[in-house]
Amino acid sequence: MLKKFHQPYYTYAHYLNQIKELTRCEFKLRDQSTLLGFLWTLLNPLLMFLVLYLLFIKWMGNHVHLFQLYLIVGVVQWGYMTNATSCGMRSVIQKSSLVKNFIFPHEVIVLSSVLTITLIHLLELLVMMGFLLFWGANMSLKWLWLPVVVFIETMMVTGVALFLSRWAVEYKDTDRIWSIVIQAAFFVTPVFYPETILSPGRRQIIMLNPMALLIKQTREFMVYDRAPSLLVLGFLFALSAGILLTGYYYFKRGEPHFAEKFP
Amino acid sequence: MKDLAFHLRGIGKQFEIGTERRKTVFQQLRYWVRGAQPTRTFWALKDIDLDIRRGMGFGVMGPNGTGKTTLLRIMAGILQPTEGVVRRNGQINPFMALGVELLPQLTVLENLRLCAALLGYSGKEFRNKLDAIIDFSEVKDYLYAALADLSSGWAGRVSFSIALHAELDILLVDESLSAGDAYFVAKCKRRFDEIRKQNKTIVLVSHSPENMKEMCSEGIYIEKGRAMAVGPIDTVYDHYARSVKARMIQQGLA
Repeated sequence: MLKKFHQPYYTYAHYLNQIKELTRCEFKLRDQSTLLGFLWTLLNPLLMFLVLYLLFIKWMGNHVHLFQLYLIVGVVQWGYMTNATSCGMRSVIQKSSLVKNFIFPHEVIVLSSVLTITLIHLLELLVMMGFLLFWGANMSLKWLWLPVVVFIETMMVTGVALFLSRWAVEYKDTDRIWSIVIQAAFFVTPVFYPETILSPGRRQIIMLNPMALLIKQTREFMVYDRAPSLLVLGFLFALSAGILLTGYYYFKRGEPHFAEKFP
Repeated sequence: MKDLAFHLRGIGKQFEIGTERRKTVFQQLRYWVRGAQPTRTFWALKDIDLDIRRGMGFGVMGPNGTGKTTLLRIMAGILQPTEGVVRRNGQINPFMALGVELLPQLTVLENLRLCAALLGYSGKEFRNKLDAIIDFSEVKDYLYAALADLSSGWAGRVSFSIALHAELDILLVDESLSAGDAYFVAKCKRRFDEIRKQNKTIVLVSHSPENMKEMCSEGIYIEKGRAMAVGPIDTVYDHYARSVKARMIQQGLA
């Protein structure tokens, strides 16, 4: 892959160094390097959780065992998907001055954007685990499945971000379209409700959504202390890897023409 | 190819004008359904053939808007040619204009780091060369100021200084010398001389005859995207100067 890139100095060390420096810049730009800045970012999923909890505890509490634990897992995982894809989508157009003036593989921009959000997500997960323990969940060895699930979600999110970022460079309204899609997807994924309240027909369709499957498996081992399904996780792993590879390929095909789109 | 820095054959670059470069999805659907809509296209460059040897200073001249920057961008690999072949040999530092805007909200030091990483410096190299870069650009007092707080002239020095100190083989310089003040320009020229002694290639776009003749041995004169003259710098420059004069006389300016 890197051999096709025509700068002779280029090694994987340089590639990683560029990702590192861009990630550092992303953090600075988002004021994440201060504690207060990070706390503000954390407020987002917590507020979301609070609102949904207060709204739905009476209703969903009857259908879901340990609703608050159920809800916080969903909110944190879904939040990661939203943030990573949206930020990744905008990353290349925001860094247009770099694209027009430097020679480097442009996916570095998207990868560093997703990496920034991923690092924030890891901290959110720590806070989430704190809440789970506080509310009486059992920390068991089954929680070691969490890195697997995070890895799967990261692959999926990166693939989607790569795809969207090229699309955003080529079409002006990608931003708006994606906002609508992700909002609709929030309701079509059982984040704040259990899929059991749906009719069997609708339930089947909704559970085709990979995020729905992923969140469900995460809840199995984080909240209910049950082992996750290896079959489903294996399927999700393969699917995410496929999304990543397709997104990467799509991005690289469009990459040589990015500079033309920015006047 | 070993002793050539650049080899270009039959380079052409076509642009569409009068249309949005980034359509909306709806417009794209309409395009697919209705078929191509007539848009005005023009050839920014056509039939350019160039061979640039390593260690040469090569000048590109022509009136404004003839495609000089486009040519440099194609040589760097930032733009793709519509037709023709580009072969490069060496690490390129595309230093387009002096006022390359990086990330204005960040500080000068952070921009220096990012710029260095994108130009191929490793972390260690950057730390080693940082003092030399700061000396050259004289931004020591402004290291922790936001880039946006500096004047545009200063901001450009930052990126340019890094390019000049990189481990490069080829430097593409686009009218930067005209944008800097005389003191900075003199510093740059001295640095260019040092670079050329190391057998590195410089491709220079400039309107100034002294700079051209001093630093370049061969050149190309481009008018309206076509090569009017290629060869030793004196011949090419005279050709260019004569056509400029002819146009000025036509307009009653000389």
